[in-house]
Amino acid sequence: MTTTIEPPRAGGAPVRSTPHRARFRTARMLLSERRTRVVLALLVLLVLVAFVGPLLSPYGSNEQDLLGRLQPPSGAHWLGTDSLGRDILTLVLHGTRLSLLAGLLAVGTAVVLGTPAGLLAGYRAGPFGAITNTVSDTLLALPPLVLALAVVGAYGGGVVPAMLAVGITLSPRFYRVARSVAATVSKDAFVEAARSIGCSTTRILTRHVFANAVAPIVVQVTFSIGLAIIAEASLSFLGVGAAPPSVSLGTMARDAFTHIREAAFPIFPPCIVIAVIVFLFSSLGDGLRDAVVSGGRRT
Amino acid sequence: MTRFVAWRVLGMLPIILLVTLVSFLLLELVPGDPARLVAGDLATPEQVEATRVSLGLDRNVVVRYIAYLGSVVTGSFGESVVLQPGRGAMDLILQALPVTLSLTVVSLVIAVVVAVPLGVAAALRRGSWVDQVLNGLTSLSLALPPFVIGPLLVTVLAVTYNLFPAVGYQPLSAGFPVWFAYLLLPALAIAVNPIAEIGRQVRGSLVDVLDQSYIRTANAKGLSTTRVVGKHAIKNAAIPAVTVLGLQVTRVIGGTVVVEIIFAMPGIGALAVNSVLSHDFPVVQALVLFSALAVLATNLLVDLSYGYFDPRLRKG
Repeated sequence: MTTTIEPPRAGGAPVRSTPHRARFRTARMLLSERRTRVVLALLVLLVLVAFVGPLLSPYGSNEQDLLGRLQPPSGAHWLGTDSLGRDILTLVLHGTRLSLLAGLLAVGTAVVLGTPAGLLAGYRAGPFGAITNTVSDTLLALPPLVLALAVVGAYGGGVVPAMLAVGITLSPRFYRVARSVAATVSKDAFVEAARSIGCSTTRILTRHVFANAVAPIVVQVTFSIGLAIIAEASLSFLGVGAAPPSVSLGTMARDAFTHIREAAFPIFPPCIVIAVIVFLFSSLGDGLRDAVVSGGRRT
Repeated sequence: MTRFVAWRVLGMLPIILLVTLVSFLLLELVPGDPARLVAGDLATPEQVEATRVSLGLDRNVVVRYIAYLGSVVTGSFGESVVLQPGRGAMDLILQALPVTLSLTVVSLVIAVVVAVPLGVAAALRRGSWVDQVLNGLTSLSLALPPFVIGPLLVTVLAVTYNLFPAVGYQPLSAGFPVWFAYLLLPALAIAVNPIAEIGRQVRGSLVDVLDQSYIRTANAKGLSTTRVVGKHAIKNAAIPAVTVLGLQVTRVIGGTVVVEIIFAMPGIGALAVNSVLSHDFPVVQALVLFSALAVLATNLLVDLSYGYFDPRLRKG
């Protein structure tokens, strides 16, 4: 149809470049710092370990050995066993996978709910924006953990409803980011140009305005995944998240804490792994945010 | 002042109404028959019917919502049906409130007392070891949620070294030292994240303020650093920090839920978990509404504090 008008502010790098360079400009801007690339590599490694690890383990996640419960680390059980005699290393691997999936589900929900509403509200002032602003302010007033508890109570246990509820309370973050970008960009010449050649609102929002919101949204995603993972683990710790067949780092911490006077060691693996996962996501978020602020230029 | 408060509360009305709708609709979310779920698996058909009536489920949705709004306005927030049948949900909340309030206040006080000097020191000596410590703490704090720190503190300080009572709660009437000894570990578990967030914000906004010309004037007059920072800079730097403090409240409320369970404290968080596990929906609904109102009230207080820190904002 028409040539896409590249948003000039998406990169900050030289505006005219080859189409191939333009395509990955946002990604390259975000990853311009070496530290960010290292953190990203570690996260990819973590994902691989979480999804491949359980297959390599000689133990099943529900394989109990009641005679060998609460054992200290040994050659057979590198991280010892829990109160039911299950291999803690295997459980940690399963738990990590669940954490990552839960984080992805909650943040996916938040992005899907928040971004389109935010883009539209920022692009067009009017009654729609007033309504979505009120909804967003309401969601911000609801403590995520309390709402998730209530939803689980009403809808029944399980990670999925809990994470959907967490996703709903996280959605105002994406709404606000998308709205502020759309409000700034909609006054720019390229949006006016797109409108003048007859682009529909949907096309302008998806092709032109959204392109400028990608980088700040990616930053928000990394921070939010950390929060969602903590929420999942907290709910499971409280006994209203993951139900018995599935293994969560939260339920592991709970189990270890209940038996803390018998053996102190099992509390450490799940807690440390959660800390590492969330630390990696928040460092990635810090790195990406710095890249967005500096526009990818080295400081 | 009164006008400002009235205006803000009026502006919050749509949000408050929407919050009541959310908490009301929670019961509608129950798949199948809520009355059966609340009454339990062993209930006879008559008991299920009685529960249906006590939940008001025999009436039309709109009528029920209006009745619900009525119970909110009169302050009863509905009646408990499982935990303590017949007692107002608000009664149960008020009974648990002192515990949670003590916990919240102590952890926020710890947060401010540690974070403000840390942030000021980091801002005055950028790049020094204090700055580095604050930086490291900020990156780490997100990764250390209360339910990770809580058990670790209990394991190390209470179980291994017996320095503190491991779990439980004593009211303030038992004496301040006792009350505080029981609160210190749980409050610390919650405070770590606010310390980092507030400290970072104090540092950031103080750095901006210190670059302004009125600070240069104050320095040029020959005022001491203490006076320049304490009298001239800190108030201006406080506004963003107080905003962050206000934003921390939702997270602190979430933290109290977990921490109260870890430390076996009979507060609102424990009430929330118990009412969810026993399907006492009116209490769950009341808790959702109550915590949202608490957050809104905090936001209002934060807005009011701006006038104290910056006289230019008092009018208008």
